[in-house]
Amino acid sequence: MAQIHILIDPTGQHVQVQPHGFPGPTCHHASAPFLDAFGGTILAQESTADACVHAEGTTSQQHHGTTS
Amino acid sequence: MSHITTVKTAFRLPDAIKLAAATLKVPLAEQVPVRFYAGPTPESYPYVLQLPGRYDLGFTLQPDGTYTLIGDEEIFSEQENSRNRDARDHLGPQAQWLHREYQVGVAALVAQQHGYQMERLSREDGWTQIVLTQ
Repeated sequence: MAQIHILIDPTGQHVQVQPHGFPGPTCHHASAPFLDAFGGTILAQESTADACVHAEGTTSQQHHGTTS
Repeated sequence: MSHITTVKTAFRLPDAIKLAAATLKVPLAEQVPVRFYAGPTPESYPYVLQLPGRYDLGFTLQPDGTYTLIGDEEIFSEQENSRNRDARDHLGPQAQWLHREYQVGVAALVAQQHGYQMERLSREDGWTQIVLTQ
């Protein structure tokens, strides 16, 4: 099931956007409108084993580190 | 491509500000002064949370299109007193509930635009979790 999880920290000033179960390139498109709407400054980006699943069933493992 | 993204957020969407005000049950006025310790400001601000008690909390538009908060420093104080109690009761310490409800409002607006069902969960560690399902 395709889902997006959004976590808001107790201060309300930091938000984490996690797409789950989106096939292939739609994974990144799915989170884009939320990131655009939250705006602000991207503090970190990371990949996890189950975050994005490619259409052929492999899991993306690319990691692009931290930005600020 | 990266998958989990952490963002330090900014107030950008007036509709989400309105949703947050409604959730917090605080009237939101437009183009009115903000009440400080010394009284109301001579200027008006685009959006103002008209809190019970002594203070209001306003939003002032920045050149980059974001809004910053403008209000008496006591609203953001770590210590509660008789003057900031009403603000803290409605907005939380350092207006944390306002920030949180704004983020929830942003999520709700985008979810509606893109056809997601939204579920909100409050975690024991103080984080708020929103699950959006298509």
